[in-house]
Amino acid sequence: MYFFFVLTVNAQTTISGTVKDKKGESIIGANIYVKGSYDGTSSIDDGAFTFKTDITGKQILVVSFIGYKNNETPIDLSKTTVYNIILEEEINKLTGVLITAGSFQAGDEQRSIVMKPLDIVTTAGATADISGALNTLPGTQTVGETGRLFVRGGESYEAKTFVDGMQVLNEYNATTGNIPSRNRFSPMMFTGTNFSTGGYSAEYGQALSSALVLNTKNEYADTRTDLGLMSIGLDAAHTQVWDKTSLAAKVEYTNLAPYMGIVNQQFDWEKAPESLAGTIAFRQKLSKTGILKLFGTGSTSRFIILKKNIDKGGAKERVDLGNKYLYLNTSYKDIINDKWTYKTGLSYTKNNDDIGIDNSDVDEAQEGLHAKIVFTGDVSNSITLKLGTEYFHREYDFGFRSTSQNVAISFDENIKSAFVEANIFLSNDFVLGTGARIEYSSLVDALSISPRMSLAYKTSEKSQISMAYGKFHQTAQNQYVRVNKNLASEKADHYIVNYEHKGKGQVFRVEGFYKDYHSLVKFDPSLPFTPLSYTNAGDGYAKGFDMFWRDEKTLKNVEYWVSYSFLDTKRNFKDYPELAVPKFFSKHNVSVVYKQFVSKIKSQIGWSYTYASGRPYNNPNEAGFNKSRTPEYHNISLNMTYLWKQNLLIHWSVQNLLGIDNVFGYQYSNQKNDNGVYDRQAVKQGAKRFIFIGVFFTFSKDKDINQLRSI
Amino acid sequence: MKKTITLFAVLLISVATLAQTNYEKAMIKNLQAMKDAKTVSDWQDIANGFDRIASTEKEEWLPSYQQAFSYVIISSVETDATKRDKYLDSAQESIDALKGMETDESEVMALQGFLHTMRMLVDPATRGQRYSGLSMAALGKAKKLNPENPRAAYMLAQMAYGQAQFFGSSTDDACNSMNEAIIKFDNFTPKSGMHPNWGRKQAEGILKNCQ
Repeated sequence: MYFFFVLTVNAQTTISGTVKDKKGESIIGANIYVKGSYDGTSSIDDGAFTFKTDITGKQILVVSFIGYKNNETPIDLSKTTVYNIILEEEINKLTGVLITAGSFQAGDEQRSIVMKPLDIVTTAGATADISGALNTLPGTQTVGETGRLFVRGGESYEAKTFVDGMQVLNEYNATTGNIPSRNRFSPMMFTGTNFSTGGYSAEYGQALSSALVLNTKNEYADTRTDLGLMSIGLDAAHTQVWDKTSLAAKVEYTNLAPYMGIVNQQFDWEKAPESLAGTIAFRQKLSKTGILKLFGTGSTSRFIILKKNIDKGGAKERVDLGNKYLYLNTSYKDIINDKWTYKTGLSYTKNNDDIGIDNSDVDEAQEGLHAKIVFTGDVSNSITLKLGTEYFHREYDFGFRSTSQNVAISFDENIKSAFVEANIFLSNDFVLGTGARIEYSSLVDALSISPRMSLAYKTSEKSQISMAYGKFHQTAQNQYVRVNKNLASEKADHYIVNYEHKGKGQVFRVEGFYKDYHSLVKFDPSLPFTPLSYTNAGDGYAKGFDMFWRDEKTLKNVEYWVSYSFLDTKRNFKDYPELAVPKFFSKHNVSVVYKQFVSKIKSQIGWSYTYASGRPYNNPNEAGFNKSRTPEYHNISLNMTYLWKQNLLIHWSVQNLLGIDNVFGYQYSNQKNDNGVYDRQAVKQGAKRFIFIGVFFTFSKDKDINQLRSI
Repeated sequence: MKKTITLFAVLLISVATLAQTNYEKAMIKNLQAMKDAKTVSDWQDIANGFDRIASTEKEEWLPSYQQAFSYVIISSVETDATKRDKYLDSAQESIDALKGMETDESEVMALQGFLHTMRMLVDPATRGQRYSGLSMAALGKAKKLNPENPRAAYMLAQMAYGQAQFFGSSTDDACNSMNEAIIKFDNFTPKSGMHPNWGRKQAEGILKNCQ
């Protein structure tokens, strides 16, 4: 019976010590224990710990704490030893320092710096247009007659849009001279936006100034039906969610005729803009880790406008614009192992513009295919690598028919690219980015290598400095390539430095930049159809700085931001006789955006004010080129979203509340009038004000669904 | 010989039950500590305790479940909003570790719904739309897997109550749902002292406003 009660009397061993980090700071709350057992404790003040264990012999002491690498130390429990453990910081690439030079990120996650996707819908003056909302950020110029994005002295064609990493062609709806267009995509489709104002990643190319990267939602949570009734049209959408699948479809019909019948317009419309568009978004979980996404949008639109043509003695020209557009995008991402992931995608764009100008007819069509595969992975604890390859195929057709001419031009372009980019975390406070993009275009027939370099360094817990450098190139625009297919790419070099301070609910950011443009397209305006007239002899520069302040802490339920941009730019390109300020330039641009949630009236109200310095225009009656300036631009807009019921939302907005008659420029006739003076006409807004009202319902089997989340 | 075998068998069984009891003992010790836990460091200690058990008992789901639950509670106690996400990240890691294990999926989904709600509360203006949708979906799944799960029932009633309050509409439906949830708590018996059994106090707290 003795052996029942033979208990080895174990002397308990005491394990004690301290847990600190590399800087010598104590870590409180760390978990210290003997591997394979429950024996352990948590560290307290000064990082000290102590516990007793019955275990004997050689064991391993594990020390762990959030944000640090697990520490395993071999110990010998036959001795009492004091263990002073130093934990090494774990490079958390998700929350560590982020390279911000030339980049604004908006998203649902903690890292979102500047804008939330909903900001785009609720920014007064933007009318839910992505470009409109981005125009309130620093680094953009207001060029109101186009409605497009002009970034840091770059023309609008220098900014490219990507959805889920895939190219989008013709992302603005079709329009003609000085009639503003809108971005085709609804901001509500996206969960994250990365808007670069320069120095963007080697993953993207063919954009001299900026890349706008939009990421679609990864999941749809509710099955629901949404209906919208607006002053400009109606839309209906349905989302169906299953266990591993979701499908969302939307149909939108827009017709501005009823609205324009009520509100006076400065443009003379024979047929107000009308369009029909459909969008589909499909998601399928193919495996535990693989997700397939399919996105498609198609639309058809038309308008007829009577435009005064100063060259025809002020007589009106009838412009009839019809457009058909199709965009398909599919992407698949999956995990290869615990260090590597990959993403592959395919996108297709087909755009057709059919423009009738009095008795002549212009047909412009573009078709593009983009295939891409990207691998992202951790090469080591502190180095992430991204590499990929892509292929673009683009076909362009142009036709011009008049009583005297019949012109048909086509060309296509194949681009093969490969890119590699590494982010090296020297610590959680210091990261270096370096990469390069190699591209070969069949049109340009040359191999280009574009290096990209960037870094970010945290100067304190709340502030950091970031820098970026890169070489960028872009195939010359279609209207020039169609005449001279031998044009080289246009090029730009970017140098950017920024400083950012993020307090609780407050962000301050100042950024300086210098862009060196070369190889820009120049042509002789007297020979528009001669290939040799088009060369890459143009050049230019853009430099300046911008400041941004955003605060959602000081005033309760209020969020506001102020952005200021200063720009100094000159170009010698297109038909310019000399290095001069371009027509889309404005020296100072200011935006103030204010939003407040008033729970008493269950509404979100907002206003915005935009200012831009006078724009240059060329007055042939005076000496010099582009020396004259328009008056300054002012615009105050207001909006309000009212949650009438749980599933009913009313939104109204007024753009240019004060009805200021802004002038964007002047067009001069090319012949002197009877008094020996060149006549002119002003380029102005379509209407003094734009008023929008919309009512939005949501229906769902699950009575808990509501619009509150949409505000 | 027979005596030796019997003694040996008894010894084996007592050793086996001793090991099982150690696991149970450690789990229950941590669960008891929850009753008095108030500060972030109190809860961190509890989470660490479950972490130690989880790293040893790789077949058991309850240690990781309770570790996740502790981290979600820490994020509700932590006053510094910038730190909450990292606790929720740890909680999510523990829930993700349950994939592939034999668990009570309804309880795991209910905890996931709770996590999503806490994630949303870190920044309701930005995250409201996404995370309340995800929370609703997780709780709906928990309810579908086990309609009698009192935790799924009370959290769904809580969301309905909050929305009704905001819109100024009647809270009667939500209050009825909360009453039904309390009845589910009455009828609920956890499979053991280590199994999930939280939420009643919170449910009763909201029910007080209904009277």
